[in-house]
Amino acid sequence: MKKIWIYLLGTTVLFAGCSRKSDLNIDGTPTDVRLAQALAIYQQKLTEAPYGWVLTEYTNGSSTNGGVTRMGPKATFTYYLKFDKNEQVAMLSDFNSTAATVFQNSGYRVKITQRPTLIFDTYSYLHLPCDPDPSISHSPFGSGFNWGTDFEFAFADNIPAADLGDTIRLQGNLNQATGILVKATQAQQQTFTTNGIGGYTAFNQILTYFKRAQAGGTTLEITPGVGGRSFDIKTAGSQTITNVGVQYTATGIILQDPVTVGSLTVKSFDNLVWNGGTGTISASINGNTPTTIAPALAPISPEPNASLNFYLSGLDGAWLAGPGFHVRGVDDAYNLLKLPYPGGTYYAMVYLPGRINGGDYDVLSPFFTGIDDYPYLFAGGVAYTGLSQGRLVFQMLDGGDPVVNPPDLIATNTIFDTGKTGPPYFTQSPGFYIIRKSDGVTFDMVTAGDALGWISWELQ
Amino acid sequence: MFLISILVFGCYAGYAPQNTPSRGEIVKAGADKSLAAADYSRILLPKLGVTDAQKPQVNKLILELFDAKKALHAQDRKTPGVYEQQQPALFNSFKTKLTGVLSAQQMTTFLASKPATNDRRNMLSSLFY
Repeated sequence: MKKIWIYLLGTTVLFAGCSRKSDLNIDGTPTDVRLAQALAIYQQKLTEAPYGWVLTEYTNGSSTNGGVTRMGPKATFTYYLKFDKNEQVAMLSDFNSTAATVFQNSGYRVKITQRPTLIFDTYSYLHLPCDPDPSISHSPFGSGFNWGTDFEFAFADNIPAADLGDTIRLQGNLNQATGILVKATQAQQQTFTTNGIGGYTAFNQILTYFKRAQAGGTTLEITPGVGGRSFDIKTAGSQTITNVGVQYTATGIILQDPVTVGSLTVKSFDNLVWNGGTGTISASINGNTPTTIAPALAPISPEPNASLNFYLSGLDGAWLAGPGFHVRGVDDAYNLLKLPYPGGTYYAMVYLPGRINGGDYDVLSPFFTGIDDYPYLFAGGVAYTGLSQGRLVFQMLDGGDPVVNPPDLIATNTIFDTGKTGPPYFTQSPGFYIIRKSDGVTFDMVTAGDALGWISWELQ
Repeated sequence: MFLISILVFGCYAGYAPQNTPSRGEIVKAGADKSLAAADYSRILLPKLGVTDAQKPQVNKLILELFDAKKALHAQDRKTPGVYEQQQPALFNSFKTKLTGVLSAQQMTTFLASKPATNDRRNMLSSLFY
């Protein structure tokens, strides 16, 4: 009898637990109905912004794939978005010059995952930095790892959807990138529509590695930060490198952290206007101090013995470059990331000083996994390295291997080969400047003479 | 207790992190593999007509010379002048060993191929200088 009571009690508890009671309802509205209403309000917020939204996405310096996380440089990406009620979104992006000026339409949804989430569900400009293929994302995190950006974002304000205002905070579901959506003004919409993301477009009209501007009574130099999504800033006579994130806007560039240059604290470059006649950009610092951003062909404060130290560091270590040369504004201009070899997969361009012929010559050749070899080494990938006026100069040598170099590698070797003429050079190449980046382990090798081409090496 | 210790140790050994080579180690190992497999008799001595039977011995001697040169270069970075001082003896030792492998005619051709100066654009310089 006692057991019967226990069974009865247990059954009661069991059924009570399964009962769909109204305690999940609020004001008589079931949860799923409330969720659907909230999602509709989120979408309504997005679509009812009359002039669209500006999305700024900040990465946190990590990239995750398959449960593995790699650390690397932080990046900021800017998008202009115009959502419609049919789950389509038109967008611009500062990912590249095309994305900055040509609108792209793709799909989006607002749905529940762990939290109410904005999902960009067809491939769009937002997916470019998310792509695990570094030949697409240009990510410096390595093959399989993107920039640490996201294309699924949870609404992160933790307030009812109806209370969201002109600014909406988002958080990426995979990489935890931060997104800030800000309603665009009518003037911004007009500028985006007519000029695209003008700050990006104007700044990248100057194709040289070195750019200079007057500020605070001195000259500052801007070079690309590691991965090209930030600025490394130096001033005349100083070896201090200040890395700062940048946000491109409709007409200018905002520095994420103010940089003190001479007597001036630089927070932004505004109203950028490209002048094709002079090859310069007129701008105003902090919106009120006129300046001119101009191309430069050489470093403003060359680091003493940079080239020699670069060579010596490689004697014990190994210099690796993922992508190949950036030339005239094009990342990996010769598509080294897609360089083929039967049975092998491109791993990296490798520079190993003093590795060949008892130390007389260097390996300067692509390495392939799968075959774990340098199949093009003795077909033009042996370098004899020297120094000339502080620059690194290479003679590319051919050991006579019958392997035929693909055109992209021939183009790459031509740039390396000092004294040869080939893109980006107009005249015979005078070698390379070696430029230390702010992370201390990355060095850019910049074509001296024109500064139109560069390749980034990391010591491993 | 003994069995428990074995089990614990076994589990630890099974899950102990493996030493994954760094990217630098991977590419350097690849370079060593490529260089060890290189046919130096073809790259550096194409005019000698080295036979298939001679190739392994010639390549072995050249690799030994390069290893010794590499060690000398390392010493020279610490004590400048060491390489210049010891290189002639190194070359003579190499020449003696090569004489045992090549024919007299091949040796004559080899010695005649010495670049007039240590012109590094000519990879053959590595054998003589």
